[in-house]
Amino acid sequence: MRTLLILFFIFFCSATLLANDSTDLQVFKSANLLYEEGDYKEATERYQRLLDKGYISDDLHYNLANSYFKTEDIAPAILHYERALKINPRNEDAINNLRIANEKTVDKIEQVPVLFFYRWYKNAVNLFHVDTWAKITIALLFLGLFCFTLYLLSQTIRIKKLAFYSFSLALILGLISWFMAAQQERLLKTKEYAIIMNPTVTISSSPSEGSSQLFVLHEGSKVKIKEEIDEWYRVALPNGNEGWVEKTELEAI
Amino acid sequence: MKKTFYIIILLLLQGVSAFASAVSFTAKVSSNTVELGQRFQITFTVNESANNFRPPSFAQFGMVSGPNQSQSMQYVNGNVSKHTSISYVLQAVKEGKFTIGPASIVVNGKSFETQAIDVKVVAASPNSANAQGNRQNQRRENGQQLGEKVFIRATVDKSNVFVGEKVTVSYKLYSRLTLTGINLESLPSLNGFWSQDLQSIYDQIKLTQEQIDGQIYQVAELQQSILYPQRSGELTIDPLAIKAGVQIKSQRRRSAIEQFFGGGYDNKEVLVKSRAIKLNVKNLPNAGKPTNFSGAVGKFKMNLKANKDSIKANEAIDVKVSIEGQGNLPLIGAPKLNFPPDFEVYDPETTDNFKTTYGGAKGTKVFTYLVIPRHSGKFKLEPYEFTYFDLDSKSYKTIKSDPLTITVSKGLDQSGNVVYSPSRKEEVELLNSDIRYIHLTDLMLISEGNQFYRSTLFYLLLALSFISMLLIYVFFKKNKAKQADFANLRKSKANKLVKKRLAKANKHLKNNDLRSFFEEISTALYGYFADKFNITIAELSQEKIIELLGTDSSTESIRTEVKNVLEEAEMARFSANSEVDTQALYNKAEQIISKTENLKK
Repeated sequence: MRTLLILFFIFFCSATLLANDSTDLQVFKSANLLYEEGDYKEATERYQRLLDKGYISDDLHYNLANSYFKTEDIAPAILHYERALKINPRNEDAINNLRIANEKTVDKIEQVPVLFFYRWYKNAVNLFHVDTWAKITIALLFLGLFCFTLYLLSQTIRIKKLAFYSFSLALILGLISWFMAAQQERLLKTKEYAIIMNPTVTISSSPSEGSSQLFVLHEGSKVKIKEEIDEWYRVALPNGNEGWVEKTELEAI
Repeated sequence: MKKTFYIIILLLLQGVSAFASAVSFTAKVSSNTVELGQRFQITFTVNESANNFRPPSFAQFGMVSGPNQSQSMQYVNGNVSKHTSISYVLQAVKEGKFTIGPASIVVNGKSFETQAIDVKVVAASPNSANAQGNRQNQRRENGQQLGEKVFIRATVDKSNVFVGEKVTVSYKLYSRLTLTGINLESLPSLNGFWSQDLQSIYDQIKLTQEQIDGQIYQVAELQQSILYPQRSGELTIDPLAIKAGVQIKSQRRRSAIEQFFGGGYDNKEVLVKSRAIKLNVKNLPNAGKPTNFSGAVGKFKMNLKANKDSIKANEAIDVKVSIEGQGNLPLIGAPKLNFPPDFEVYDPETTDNFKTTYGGAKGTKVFTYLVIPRHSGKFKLEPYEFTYFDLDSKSYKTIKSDPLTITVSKGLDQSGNVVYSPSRKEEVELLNSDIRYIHLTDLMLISEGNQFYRSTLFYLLLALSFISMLLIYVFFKKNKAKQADFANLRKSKANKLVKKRLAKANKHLKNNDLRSFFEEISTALYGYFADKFNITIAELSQEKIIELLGTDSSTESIRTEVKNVLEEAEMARFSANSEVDTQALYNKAEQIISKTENLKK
């Protein structure tokens, strides 16, 4: 179904997707080669350079995370696996490697399963990338347009009926996918979670230096960002523990 | 203290060459039967270097001194044997049969135990210097007189003190009679005090002389203690009671020889008690009392130090808090230091280095915390605040230490996982598995600025689809309206047209051109209905007309008539049958039209 849709709207794809410079693609390939040769440090640098150019790609994040993992930098590895999954939640390799990376962190935090309907909603939103959703929207609306025209012009009752229903369906689905695109973009833009980047980070009771220390987290732990004040985040753990931490200590996914 | 002692023993014992000879570890008491109040010694002897000496419990006895340790060396046939003995001096405090349990010691990794020893404590015998039942009455009689001659004076240096402020209490025995001995009857129970003896009654007693009211007294300093009141209110220092052995002139007659040899005196035991002393203990002022005040009273200095300021993870570091000064030092508890939660902190070791003086305890008390940071990072130790009550200014004083910064670099072994939660087997397997390989497929690099969603193109296409829909709808509506107009025109013209055609048919009838007449009739009707229903004549058939007229009962007659007329006209037209009532057919056709016209209105 998905491939069908994508094939169907290849017109829109071609207009926007392949905006990459051939030199940047070359950089990507050379970084892959370096990774193959075991020069993970240099590979890391090149992947990072591409990311700094503003490219959005789960594969790029995934490869970067892998090279961080190979140099034992667990926290940035986890960060980039998470970012890869944020872009493409169904990147199986990223899911697998993230699990392995998480085994190497100090804090063992049990992730509380999210409510099933929220999970469903998220899965639905994450079904496609925001641009894909947008293209589906456009495609469905044009399909709707076609059906509408058919409905108006057709003299036969049967065709008229079919065309009308198709038009309504296409219109509704189009609006839904528009909404999904908006939700996807929101999910991508909002910084819901963060990864602790420094080896040992103390979580304080208030957003000020010298406030009492509540608990300690170590690099690679994932926390939920609840609030933001100046240079501080209020973060929460799945077990309900909450506290304030300076922004420099962590990196939002 | 005890620990250090054991360590000394250990070191001493280590020096002994351990020849493979039978280890003997024995316990001995100086006497198996003792009188109540009598002291005796218990000695544990071992002939090898040993450690981990554990004495039995001496709970049933009063501990006078110990452990005292001594060593002896013997050369027998060229073999050196070294004996180490540890002894305790105990005092029988209860009558009965008691068992001193076995002591244990470890020699070359093997544990040895002594035999348990039974000790029988019997009542003091009459001829001992203790209680003399048969003479008690007599002593009571003499008590009055003796009280003036022998008494204990208890004095305190202050009677109005704060909680935790030291009080020096001293007991002196005054006697105008010759003292022959002093036996403790009861020590004051110091309820509500923490005490430390400057001079104990068990120590050697020095005798001095003092003159009071012209009388010369022998004075024995019995006991001097530093007391720290632990609670406020009126506290009582209970009396100290002793039995003093004195010589009094014998009342019975005696011979000159006896007198000459120092006789004529009876040795007597006198029970002497000091007076209870009342102390008024005030609470420390509540005003300005810091929350972290822990009860230190006196004058102190404090500092916080770490032996290293940068180490590797999993290495130990000593953090020392030393409190120096004068006051109730022995009562100062270990400070609560706020270590970062990630530090493994062991209970502090306390090193006392103070002397008890008349002014209270003086010296330093050092608390050493052994701390092991488990993870790397830069840690700030919050400054420790030590608060004490200054007796001079009668106010609280707080000393704040400098903050400590400890830099912990990554240790060799950073596998902290083990410390926090033992990995499950499944997880261990995961740890060993490698990550999956990188993705080599050609990237579809999407630039952030190149997003399709919310791009101009997206909105353009979106708008296009909606506007197209709207335009198509509007165009269609207009077209429909036009068509409707055309239909109405046709409809309105239908009547006129059909009348013209019927008139033409009538003309044919008059000309007796029957073929043309039938043709005209059928054309007129078909033309009429085509106009009426706004369809082309080609599409129209007899069935179509009936269908379009609907199934209503109101059109029932029209339908049958239409059918009849058209069939008749058709038949007559092709068969040229002249038997048909042409006038009736004409009338019927007219009727259909008028009926349909009426219907449509």
